[in-house]
Amino acid sequence: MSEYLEINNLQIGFRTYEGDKQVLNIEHIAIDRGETYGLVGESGAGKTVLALTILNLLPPASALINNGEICFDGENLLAKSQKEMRESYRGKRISMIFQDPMSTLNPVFTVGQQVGRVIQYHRGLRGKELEKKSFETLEMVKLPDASSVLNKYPHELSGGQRQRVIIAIALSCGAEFLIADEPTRNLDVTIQAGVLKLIDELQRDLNISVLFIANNMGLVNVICKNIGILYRGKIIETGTSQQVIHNHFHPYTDALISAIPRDKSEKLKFASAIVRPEAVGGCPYYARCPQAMDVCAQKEPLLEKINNGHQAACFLPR
Amino acid sequence: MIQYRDFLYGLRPRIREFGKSLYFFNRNRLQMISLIIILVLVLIAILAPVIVPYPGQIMKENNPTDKLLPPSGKYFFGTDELGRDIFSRVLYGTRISLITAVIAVAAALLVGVPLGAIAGTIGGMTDEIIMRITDVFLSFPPLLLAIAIAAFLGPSLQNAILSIVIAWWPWYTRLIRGQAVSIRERQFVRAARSIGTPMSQIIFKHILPNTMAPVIVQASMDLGGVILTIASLSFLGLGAQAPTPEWGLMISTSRTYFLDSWWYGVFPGMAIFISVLVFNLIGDGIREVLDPKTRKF
Repeated sequence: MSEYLEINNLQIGFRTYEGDKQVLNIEHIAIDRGETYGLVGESGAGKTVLALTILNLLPPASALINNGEICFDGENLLAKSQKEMRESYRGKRISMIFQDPMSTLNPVFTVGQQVGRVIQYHRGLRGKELEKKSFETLEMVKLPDASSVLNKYPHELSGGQRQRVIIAIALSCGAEFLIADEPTRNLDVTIQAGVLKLIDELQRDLNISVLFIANNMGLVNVICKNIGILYRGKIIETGTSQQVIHNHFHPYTDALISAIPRDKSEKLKFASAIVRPEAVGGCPYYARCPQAMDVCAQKEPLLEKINNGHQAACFLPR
Repeated sequence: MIQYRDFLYGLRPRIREFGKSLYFFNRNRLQMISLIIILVLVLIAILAPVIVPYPGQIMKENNPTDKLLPPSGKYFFGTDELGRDIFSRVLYGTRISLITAVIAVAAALLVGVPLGAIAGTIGGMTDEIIMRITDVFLSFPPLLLAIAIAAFLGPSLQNAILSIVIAWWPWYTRLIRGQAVSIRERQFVRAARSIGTPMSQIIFKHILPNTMAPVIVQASMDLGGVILTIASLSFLGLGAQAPTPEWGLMISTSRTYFLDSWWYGVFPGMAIFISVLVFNLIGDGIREVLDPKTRKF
């Protein structure tokens, strides 16, 4: 097995009062060591569910992992117990940063206490060594004035500072794989750029792999090597960022790209408009697709090769 | 250069926050008075053996010549049917009431808080079992429970405390559980799990500290309630036994002499009234300080 993280035939559902609902159906995602993979999709597409599945953090009472495997460095993570995951994967090898930096830190402890606690747990450091390591961790994410940030409570920090602290905590114990779940949401544009740059730099410096989840094509374009477009729990187009951004094939990818505001003269397209009724058993994008054909309502397109490494699930003539 | 001293400072919760809370207290006259009265009560409780004018008369001493004297310069609150100084006994009673109230509330917290946090955080079957047990305990009327325990183990102050703890802990469990259920859905708990924090640390380091505000308020109000309950139990003969200088017990004995000697029952009653009142006011004050929405300034 050559790939570092490989997801095969993953099918995840949730128990609801209306019966079991399938939310994620991924045939294949592969992420190399040291690669940044961008996962793009609208809200509700299943991006966060995928991230939580990798860490085995889905609520056990309602989540159904029906099928599939997640191979990380040759080991199937879905077969691990919670204890194994906690002791040897979460934080140590795989880390995650969450969407909203405002609520990811515990409001009743100082940053220093929270950074220190994680390092103490995973590395068993105490006293002076712990302090030194905590300080270095915050220096790593280029927080100016790290020693005073350690003394502060989360509410005293700005969104960007908090997100840097969270990245610091996530990488403090030597994680090699970082899941960044919309890390720039709720941040100013300038801060977004700073956080993006930081993730990019850390990825290079520490040679980690990053699964970068976003709903904005503009962001992933900048830092990702490969991109997957997720729509209703399915990958509908995948390839290198060059292929997906510049030679995109699927109408949904087109809608995502044209949603990036660029020019006043360009008329904004609204990708969310529903133009026709759902087609049961047909293409999941049928109801919103501007280029739908009769065949789209009858059967579901599968991922098919367009050219080397570039695949899309659409019936449009290639 | 790394400023280690700054860092050490940062590892501890900051003291100046505490100073700020006191400042908020200061802005609220009533609460500040209550706080001072509580401090005085605590001082009296600690120093009781030293400051009472007639330490010898607290328990036993028979003083037949000074029976049932009205308040005077010699006996500030008068004397009782055995000629004991009521002032000394009321001061000593502070000690008993405060200690029993603190022990009862602390024991109830010790049982109730961790159970509530565990039930709320883990959820599922554990939650169900713990909460049904609290329902069983909540269905006991405290007074009846105290009578039953007194019947089994004999009436004494310890058994009164025991029955109060048994009747009280489920309230804390419910309070904490409700808080924990909402806090466990917060992002930082999920983040803590994603970094590999073990469940015990999540419960006691992440969930519990965030649920403490209403518990502190409830506990400080309950101190007053427990003082009242202990006094009631003693009044009924289920708590402290003679000759302990317990307020409720003194009122109970005073019933026989009440028509002729008003001072016998009134002063212990005042002591109960004031201590229950100040603990309730302080509970309100703490709530105002802890919750920015109710701060008036």
